[in-house]
Amino acid sequence: MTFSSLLLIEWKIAPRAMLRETAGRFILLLALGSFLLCLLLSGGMNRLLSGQWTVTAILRASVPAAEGEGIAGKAVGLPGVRSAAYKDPEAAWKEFLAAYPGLESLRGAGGNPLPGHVEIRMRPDRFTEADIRAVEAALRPLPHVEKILYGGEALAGLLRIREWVNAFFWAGFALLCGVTFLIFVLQEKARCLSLAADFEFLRERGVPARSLSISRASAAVLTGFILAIAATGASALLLFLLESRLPLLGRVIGPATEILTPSVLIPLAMFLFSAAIASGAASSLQWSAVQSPRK
Amino acid sequence: MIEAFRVGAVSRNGTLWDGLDLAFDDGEVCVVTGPPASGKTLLLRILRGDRRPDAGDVVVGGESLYRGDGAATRAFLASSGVVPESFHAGGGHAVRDLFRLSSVAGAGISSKERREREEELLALMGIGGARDAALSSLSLSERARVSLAVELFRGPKVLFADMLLHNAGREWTDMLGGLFRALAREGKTILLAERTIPDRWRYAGGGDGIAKGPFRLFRFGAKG
Amino acid sequence: MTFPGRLALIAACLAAGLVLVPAAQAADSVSKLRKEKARLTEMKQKAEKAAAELAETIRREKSTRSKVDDLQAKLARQRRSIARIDKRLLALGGQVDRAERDVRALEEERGKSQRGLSAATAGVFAGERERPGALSLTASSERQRYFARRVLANELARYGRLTADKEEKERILTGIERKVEDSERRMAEQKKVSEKLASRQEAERQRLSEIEKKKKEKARELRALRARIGRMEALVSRIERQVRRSEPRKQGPSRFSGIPGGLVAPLEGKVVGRFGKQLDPVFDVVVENRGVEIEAESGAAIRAVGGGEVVFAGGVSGFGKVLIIQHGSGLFSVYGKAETFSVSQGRKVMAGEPVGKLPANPGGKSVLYLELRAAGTAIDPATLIHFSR
Repeated sequence: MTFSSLLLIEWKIAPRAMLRETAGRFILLLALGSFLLCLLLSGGMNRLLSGQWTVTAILRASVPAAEGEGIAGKAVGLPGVRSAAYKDPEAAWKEFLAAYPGLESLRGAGGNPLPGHVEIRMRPDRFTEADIRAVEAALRPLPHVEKILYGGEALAGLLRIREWVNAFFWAGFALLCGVTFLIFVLQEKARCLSLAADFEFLRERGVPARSLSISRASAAVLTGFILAIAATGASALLLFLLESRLPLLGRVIGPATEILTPSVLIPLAMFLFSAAIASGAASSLQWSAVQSPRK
Repeated sequence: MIEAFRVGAVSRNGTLWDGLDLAFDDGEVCVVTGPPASGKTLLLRILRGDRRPDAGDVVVGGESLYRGDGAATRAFLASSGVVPESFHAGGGHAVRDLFRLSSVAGAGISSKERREREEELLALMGIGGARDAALSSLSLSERARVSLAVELFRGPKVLFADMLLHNAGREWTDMLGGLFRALAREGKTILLAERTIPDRWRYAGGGDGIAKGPFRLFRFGAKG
Repeated sequence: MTFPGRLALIAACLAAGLVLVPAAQAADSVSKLRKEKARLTEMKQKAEKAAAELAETIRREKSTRSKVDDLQAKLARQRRSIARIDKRLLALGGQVDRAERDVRALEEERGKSQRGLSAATAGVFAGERERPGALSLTASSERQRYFARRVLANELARYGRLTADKEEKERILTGIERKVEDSERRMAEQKKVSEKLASRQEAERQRLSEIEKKKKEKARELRALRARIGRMEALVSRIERQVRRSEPRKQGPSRFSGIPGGLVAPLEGKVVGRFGKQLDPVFDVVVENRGVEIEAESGAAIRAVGGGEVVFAGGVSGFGKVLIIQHGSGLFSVYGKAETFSVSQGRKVMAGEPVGKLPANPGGKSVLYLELRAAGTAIDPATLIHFSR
């Protein structure tokens, strides 16, 4: 017996069973990888909220459009701001009528009473109360700015809800990871039980249990890692394809191009290694649990 | 050379035997007989290094199997073969799967070589062409032959067989006799555990054997 | 001096002249003269009376005319005032109309604004109630609510401005209406006053017409009297001539310039009534003054203008005390309106000798009438004597 002969021992002993299990693990990891990708890109509710939530700088009534554009430009340069757009008083009036139809008569002889405003959207990863307050503190002293609307108390509540929802999502992901690990363990247990006689055969023929354990765990780590890479790659490709057909998905989850950013790649790499380690750990655990003591 | 020094074994019912001193030379075929539940299978396992004796030690090639770091034991296990009394045919394995397992336990056997040897050994065992047959579809005798072939596949130096001759017919017995003699001439040691020695083998030079505890040992040299 | 007074004085002079002429030679003429003189005196008295009445009528006419004129002026002023008030009322009426129109327009706009505001508030409130709740709250909904609050506040402010404007306009309207009431009241008062003035003016006009009628009557009487006096004067002159023819000619100058030493002023004073034709402001007729009137201090002494003999000193109706001094042949100086004379008829006087004094007048000034006659013709004393003007 040599170590190379023990490599992928189970693939040698029961290749079909391993293929089935691997396919099952691939699907699990595909689901996990997709979930993780979506969580990383969207930040849970961060992207959705940052896309929906705007900080509005209400300008004074006499501010001309050029000044409004200037304030929008200044806002874009603030840390944490993703975009800022100036909306003129007519746009404000149209928005008001869209929200409260049938009130055109209120425009009156005095003209449009609404001023222009600047709509500011935060970056998903900087959508925090502190960042929003920083933007507010930066813009409020400007002489052309009359008021800053950012949700006030509702924002605090919303951020708390966001934290809970994100925690729920991440807890769900953790739960899925736990379930996946449990499935790995059960798979390993079943395989160990089914191959117990074979392992006993080998052990009786001088193959050390430790070698078997190491070989199995190594194979599990390797296959786990490869599977995770394949599953994550497939998730990314799937996301690219879906977003090309459903742009709404990109707005909700985030553009798939951001997968190649360090903030996503590093957690993905951790996921790959975690999947590999989980596979190896499941293999080792069940080998230890199933392994019968020498008489 | 395999030597057992004052080995003893205890079962749930009490001491089976104790203080056995045995020695087996290379190129020797030895049949250990004894009544049922006398511990024949246990003796083979102890001699093989697969089960620690409750007393005594076993030394192979000058190295203790039970008082060392285990490396000698593993080496001996790797270099010996065992044909158990019953072979579990579960798991849906086919004959080729056993050979594959055996090749794993063995060293440096390529798949091509394995395939050739599989066919050769199976033919030798009289079950040529059964490579792809499921173990569960074989009879007990065929399974025994497959088991022997799988062990011979690895070319063990010592072959332990438990109740191999128990239900063997005359032809199979003769064939095995010839096989074991050939192996003995190659310097391999064959240890068999049987209830009784086949008459043909007794008459072939086994004699009445030597009593060792509850057992009787029948030794056959290379020429015997 | 009034015209009748002058006539009386002329008559007196003539009568005095007639008296001075020694009547021994022409007894018939004298008696005739006396008769005529008496008739003349009687006529003179009548004329004097008529003149006085006429003067009184004329005075009353003047007074009434001035009252009428005064009333006319007042009436004109009232009418102008009424016209101004009327114009003001018209203007105020226009302002009231404009103010009422403004108030109506403001009320309409205010009502529209109130209805719009109520509907908008209800709509916004209903919209807020329909929103599911805090979970769907977004920043855009906060912005929309801010817009709604701002629009409603703007409309509310406009409503407030309209209400304030309306109240201001109503206040202005009330003020204008009060002014209109005041103006109408003043107009009524002015009209009442105007009616009163008009009625007074009418009454005065009636009086004036009566007075004019009376004046005409008196003037007619006066003319008749003048005519008779003229005739009488002619007669007296004829008689005078007869008397002169019948008495020996007096020795002495026949002209005042021939009087040695010339003439002296009878007193220190100012000529206030000149010799010759003058418009009599009282009678509004042109009368011919035969002498001058000299204003001097009350109680001033009257001196003879030249040496001569006092030929008459007595009272003449309407003329007060009269003194006549004969200076030569046909040269007489007549002094009228004196208080007293200190010389009597037949006394010889020197030039500058005090012959009397003026009466005392509360105003401190009195007037002396001086006439110079030469051969029955009156001569302007100012040409012979230096007076202050």
